[in-house]
Formats: sequence, C-alpha cells, structure tokens
Amino acid sequence: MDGEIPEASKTQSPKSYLYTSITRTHLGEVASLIVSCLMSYGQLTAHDIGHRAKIPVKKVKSALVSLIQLNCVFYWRDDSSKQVFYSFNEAGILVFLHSGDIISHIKSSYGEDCAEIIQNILMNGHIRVEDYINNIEDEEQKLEKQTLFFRLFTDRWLVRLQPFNYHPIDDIWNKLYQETLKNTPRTSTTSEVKRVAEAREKTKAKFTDLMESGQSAKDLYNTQDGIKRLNPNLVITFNLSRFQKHLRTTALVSLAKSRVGILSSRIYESALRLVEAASPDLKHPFLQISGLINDPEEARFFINSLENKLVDEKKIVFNVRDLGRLLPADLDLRNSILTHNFLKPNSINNNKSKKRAVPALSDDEEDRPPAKKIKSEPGEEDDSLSRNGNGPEDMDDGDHHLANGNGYISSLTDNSDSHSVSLIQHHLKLLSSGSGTQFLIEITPGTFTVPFASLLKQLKKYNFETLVKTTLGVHSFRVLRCLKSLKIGDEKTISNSVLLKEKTVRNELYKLVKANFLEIQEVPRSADRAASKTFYLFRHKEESSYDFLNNSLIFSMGEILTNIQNFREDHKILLEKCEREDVKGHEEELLLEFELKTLKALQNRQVNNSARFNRIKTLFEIYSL
Amino acid sequence: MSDLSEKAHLLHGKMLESPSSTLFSQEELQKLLHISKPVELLNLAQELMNKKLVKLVKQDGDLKFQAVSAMEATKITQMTDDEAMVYSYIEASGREGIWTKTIKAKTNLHQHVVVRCLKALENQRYIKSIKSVKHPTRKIYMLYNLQPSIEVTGGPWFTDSELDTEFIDSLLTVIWRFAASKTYPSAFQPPSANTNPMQASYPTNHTGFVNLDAIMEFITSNKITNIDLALNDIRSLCDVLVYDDKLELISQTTDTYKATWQSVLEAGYGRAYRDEGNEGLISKSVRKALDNQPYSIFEHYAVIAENEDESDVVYMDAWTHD
Repeated sequence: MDGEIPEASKTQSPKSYLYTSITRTHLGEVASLIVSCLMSYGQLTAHDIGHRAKIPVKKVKSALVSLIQLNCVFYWRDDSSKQVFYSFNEAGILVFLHSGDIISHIKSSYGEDCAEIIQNILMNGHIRVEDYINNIEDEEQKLEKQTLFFRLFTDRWLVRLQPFNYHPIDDIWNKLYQETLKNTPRTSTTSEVKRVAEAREKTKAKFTDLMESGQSAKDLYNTQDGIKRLNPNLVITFNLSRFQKHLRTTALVSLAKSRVGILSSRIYESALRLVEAASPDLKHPFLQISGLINDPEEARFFINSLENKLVDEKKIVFNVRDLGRLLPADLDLRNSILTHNFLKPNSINNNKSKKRAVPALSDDEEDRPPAKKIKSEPGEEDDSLSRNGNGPEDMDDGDHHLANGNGYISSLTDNSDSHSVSLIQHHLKLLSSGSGTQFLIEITPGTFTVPFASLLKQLKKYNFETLVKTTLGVHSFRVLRCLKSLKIGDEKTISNSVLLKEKTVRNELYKLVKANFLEIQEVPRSADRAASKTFYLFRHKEESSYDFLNNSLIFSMGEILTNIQNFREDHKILLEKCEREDVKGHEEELLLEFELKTLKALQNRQVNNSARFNRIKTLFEIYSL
Repeated sequence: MSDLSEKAHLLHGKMLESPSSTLFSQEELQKLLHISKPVELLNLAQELMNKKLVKLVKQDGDLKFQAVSAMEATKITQMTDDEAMVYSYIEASGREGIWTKTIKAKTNLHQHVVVRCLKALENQRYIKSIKSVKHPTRKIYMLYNLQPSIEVTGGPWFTDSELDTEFIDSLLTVIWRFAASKTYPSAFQPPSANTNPMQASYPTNHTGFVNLDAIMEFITSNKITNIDLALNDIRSLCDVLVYDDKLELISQTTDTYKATWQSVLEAGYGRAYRDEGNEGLISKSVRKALDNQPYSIFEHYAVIAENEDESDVVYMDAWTHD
C-alpha cells in the first residue's frame, strides 16, 4: 500500500525535497509521505492525510505518533470543529540533519557520558528525567547521571518540553489574540486601529508569559540532601536553538580566522563560548508568527532591541580577565603582536637584553596610552625566555633603552606569558577594529560585547562572496564587489572601475545574472523600447540572492541524499546479504572477492558523498541563521 | 619673407614674442606698432595674411589675429589650397584629433579629395593617424608633433587602444605584495624565533600601513614601470584590489590600505606552520585541533580536489536546471 513518494515532493520546494529525503532515510516511506503531504497542504487532519497520501488512516495515525514524539509534527485541536489538525514542524528534521554534529560536539565539550544522554534523547525525541534515571541500576551512577542532566540543562542544551511546544505557534498566537480582542471593549472614543494595536500588545505580553511559564526554579529543580538537581518529573528535550547558536559561533570563528588571524580567532572562540548560552536566539517567536512583524525595518529594529537588552543586562558582555581564564592551555600568544622593530635583528642596542615584561595592567590603567615606552628587543629565543622567566626585575634596563632614543614605542606586549592580559587585550582590539569587520565592540575599556545582528550580515556577505569566487571565478568576484560598491551600474562603468575588458565584464555579468545574483534594470531610450538602443543597468540585492542560494543549497543536499539512496539501491542485494545474521562479522570468509571490493567502493562513495553533504550543510547553516 | 615690408616684419616679430597661441585684437595690434589708423593696420595685416604669417580666428564673435611662425607659414604655402584647408581643421582639433568624416563635412570637399590631401599631408609627416579608445573603428588624424590626449588613448591602461590587462595585473600583484609586506611582514619570511608562527599582527594603533603616496613612491623608486602614473591611477588600482578583497581601506583614513589576511592565505603565505619540516613550530595538541577544524569555505585553498565520479557531482544551480 505504501505509495511511491510523489515527484511533487521534489518539485514543490527544495525544502520539501530535502526534508522528505531525510525522513525517508530515518523514518521510512510512510513518514516521508506524510511529511511531504503536510508540507504541501499545510494543515490536515489524519483522515485527510490518509486520503491525500493514499495510506490507510490507521497507518497514518501510528506514524503520526512517532513523528510528534520526534518533534517533526505539530498538532492542534480546533475548538469549533473539535478536529485535530496536523502540521509540519521543521525543528525535528533539523535535529536529524545535525544529529551527528550535535553528538560529536557534546562529546568533545562535555565527554562521552553526556553525549550518550543526548544521543538517547535525540533518538526518543523527549524523555522524562525519572524514566531515564530509573533504567540505571547502580545508585552511584544514578547520581552521576543526574548531575550530568543538571549540567546539560543549565547550559541550555536540554530544555523543558511543555504541551504548547507541540502546537503550531501561529495557532497559539491566534487563539490568544482572538480572546484578547474579544475582551478588549469597543468604545466610541478609541478607533478600531487603536483597539487592534492594544489587543496586539496585550497578546504579546500574554504570549511571552506562556512561553516563559513553567521555567521558574521551583518547577525545574528540587533540592535533595543539599544537592540541587532536576525535578525528576520534568519532560525534557534537546534544544535545537542552543545548537544553532553553537553553529553561529563556529561560523563566526571561521570568519575571524580568515579576516584577522588564527590566534585571534581562537581567542574569539573562547569569548563567544563565554556568552553563547545567553546570546540572542536565532529566531524569536515573534518573528515566526506570520503577520506580526511584517516590515523589514521593524524586524531589524526588533532584533536590535533584543540584542541591546542583553547588553544592558550584561548577558553578552565579558571582560578580558574572565576570558583569560578560559583560554585553551595550548594557545600560545607570545610574539603574536608585532612591535615596530622586530624586523631589525641587529639594532643599535645589540646587548643581550631581554624582552621586558610589563606589569600586568590593572583595570584603571588599561585605557591609558602606551605611556611606558618599553622597547622590546628581538633576537631572543622564545623558549629561553619563558624558561628564564624574566620578569619586570630588569625594568631599569628598559629605561636605559628609552634614553638611547632608539626605541620605537613597543606597545604593551608582554611576551613572557603565553596568556598575558595585555596580549589578549591586543587581540581583542584587533577583533574589534583591526579589520573591516567589527567582530567585537569595546563598550568600556576592557569589556566587550558581540554585535550578533550586524555580524550575521557580514557573515552571510563574506560567505556568499567567497562562494562566488570559488564557483564563478575571481573576475566574477571582482565584478560583483564592484557593483556592490557602485550600487547600480552599466557595463561600461563597471569595466572602467574593475579594469577588465568590456567583453570579459559582459561574460562575468552574464554568469552572475544566470546564477540569479544580479538584477537587470532596463532603461529604454526610444519610444519603441528598441533593445539596440536600450540601456541596461545591473544591481545586486542581498536578500533575494541569499534566498535563492539557500534554496539551491537545500536542493543540492536533497540531490546528494537521493544519490546515496540510489546507489545503495543499485547494490541492494549485496547490502542485504551483509546485513544477514550469519554473514555479519564474517564478511571476509563468506563474501566473494569482488563483492568485498564493491562493498569497499560503496563505502568510499558514501563517505565522499556524506562529506560533500556536510560541506554544503555548513553553508546552508549560515543562510538559515 | 624677404619681400615683406619692414613694418609688416616688425609686427610679425612683435606678435611672435608673445606665447604662440596668443590672440590679438585689432586694438592690441595697433598698440603694438603705435598705429592710430585702422587702414594702415589693415594693409599690414593683409600683407601678412597673404604670406600666411597671420591667421584669423573668430573668438566670441570678434575677429582676432594669431601669429604663425615663418616655418609653419612656408609649410602651408607649399600646400595646395585643399591641403591647407584640411590641415587647418586638423590643426584646430588639437590633441583630440579629428575624424575623416568630420573633415569631409566641414570642408565640403569630395571624399577623394580629402583622402588625397590626407595622404599627401601624412607623407610629408605633417599629420598622423591615431586610434581612439572610444571609437576604435574611426580613422582619426592629428598633427604629427602632438601627443594624443588621455581621452583618445584611454590613459595608462591602454596599449594600442587595447586594455593592457597583463600590465594591470602585474601592477596589481606588485602593489598587493608591497601592501601585504607592510601589513603582515612575518608572513613572507621563513618562521623566526621572534614572531609567532601562527599569527603576527601589528597592534591596532600601528600606523605604518601603506597609503597612495607610499605606493607611488615604491613604484617610481623601484622603476616598476616606465609609464607615467598619476595618483588617481594608483587609486583605481587600489580600488580594484579592494574589489578583489585583497586590500581593505582602514576605517577613518583616506587612502590608507592594509592587505586582508584572507588574501595572504589565498596566496599561500602565512601558513608556514603547516608545512612539512616545520612541525616543531606548534605543539602537537594545537596541530590536532587544527586538523579537526570544521569545514569552512574560506579555506577553500586548503581543500584537496578529489577525483570525482561524474554521477556524484552536484551543481550549485541544479535547482534551476533539473
């Protein structure tokens, strides 16, 4: 009875193609049919799904149970018709998409045991803490697990799952809104517009209350024997948004690495991790409700206000000292900030002087100009330096250098300590103003914040441009960036500014237009709009290009999954043979030589394709941020 | 020259004392020779005109006189009337040059006559034909001894009215390399003990980055090109480098640039710590962390291209084409 997955799932939208492919590999044909169906129709009752997808209702219902359990489907009971409607929930599928990365990230930052918990939760969709703990026999282990749960929960990798998480956000909003509107009286003194606006504001407050309900410490934790632990009755699930924040961190660090340098980027990574858990959500629920915030200007304002609020509350603010403690031990910052005279190996003062360490700056001193001009002298082995541990004891010698007048101002770099505060400070300064991109903002001397909203824009821009460079070539890259700075231009202006032949420019423009990254504006010069006389201007619009690119990426990901599925299908018999109980583990003895060869080739091919899939995924992540 | 009256000779001499393109009004000429009667001047002027030693030029509705050197005059007297007429238009066009079609229209001569005149003049090396960047197909003439203007040649970027991309590219490379060495000096040297192998940047208050003057100075002092470049030309080269994301303008400055780190990486520098033989520069744990970096498109240069199975390749534009 299982119908073939219709061609429409591929053609209706790239998302549908990717999501149905993922569902098919993870949850089977029926589930993917349902997903495809829900994506194309929006909201359907179980009966309708059965009808549209040509699957018996009983099968639909049992599939829906697991889909809901895994957060892939929302449900909503309509008050008037008493019917239950189902709709598609992207979050569950995205968790599938990222599952491997999630587990390996947790493993690397929290260890095997935490990864195991996360893996189990991912597999089950959600879990009651008690149920999980009760499966463990050993008392000591039970306690251990509870602490791990607590840790993951406080770091917001796990969140409490509540009934409203299963409902489509639009429906919740609508219900609240209609109620409030009913309760807002009509009066002759206020206009209808005002009444609606008032109701909307009230609903916003109510909605926020609802979303934040059940998150108080009393609901979440209980204290037993003086140990604070998670309430065992809590139902918890994995927090996708937390992982997306981690992805954002990774993407920003890569950008910093390419713009500023690898050491700065590693410091940046630590800094971002420091504020990651408290950083603004990638998508605020208000922005997801259709029709609530329509104007892009208003949306931008809203996002900025969220960010400013976090800055005001000091949630995404850190200072140099906090950071110093968190830097990885193997990070060696010595000599990473150049002093002016490092290139002159035998300068006038060629005595065996040591690099002088500057006494660590105290808070009130940090903002002063490099008043103490201490000359650092090159030509000294780093290792010997650190071993000698020469400190500020030979300060007087430094003054002597100054007196010689040879010393160029060496900024306050302390090259004896690989994590010196002044070096970190220098790197943070580089991140905030050392390149065209502002990775950090120094709000007060020594304290920094991360401008997430504006950085995301830069992130998308640079990734997009680099993609153009790597796929369409350096000339396209030059033309595109030139056009961006010109805002709008014709072939001639462009070719004059990029110093390329007009013919080349025309070719590059064609490539860019074909890839849908440029728009053409027609400026007719005669009444009959003759093409020969018409003037053509080009321009680049970021939003539409990104949307298009994202769709292309999603589609390509779907293609790769289908491809993997197809070549596995081609060797179905062999693969099934390997899965047989008697063959498993004895492949070498029971399989023919050519079968082993094919198996190996298949495996390689799958690995290659998965790698390709993952690379596209890194870009897809950036454009979904 | 010999049969010129003394007075006319004197007038011509006085006129030539002023810069060559000075225009004289009737009153000015009268003053030059202290002549009070216009009739007297008229005779002298006519005499000079006949010998082609003076030209009449109309300026703002007034007739003005311009002296012509004796050599020039003999040149013109040797020409036929048609040739002289064509020559006068070519001369008037100055450094811009004049299109043969325009000559024809202005002189009202027949095509054949014009062509014959041009040929004659060209053979005598009085005029030359040039190529214009703006109108590559037109035949344009100008005086033999003049340099075509920038509009005609297209500036330093054009060689024989073709955009000299090789020249531009080599200049771009030179400028980038110069700027990069001023921004990340250690990246271009073998790893040394007094710089960190992974990153060595100038602090943010560093001011030694390159500006247009420094680049200009570098190019002239190293005799990189024999073509004269103006500051504006250097600026357009820097603009191109900015479009290429190889340089970036330092904020709050005008015309001070630094090389982007990405461009250094893409050019294959700044990664010496990854090279074979330099394993000792960084610790093992750092190396391991580097090997486990997530994929980033910015490191496209580090990705080894694999031998693709044709059927496995996916294309970025598959969505629009499938």
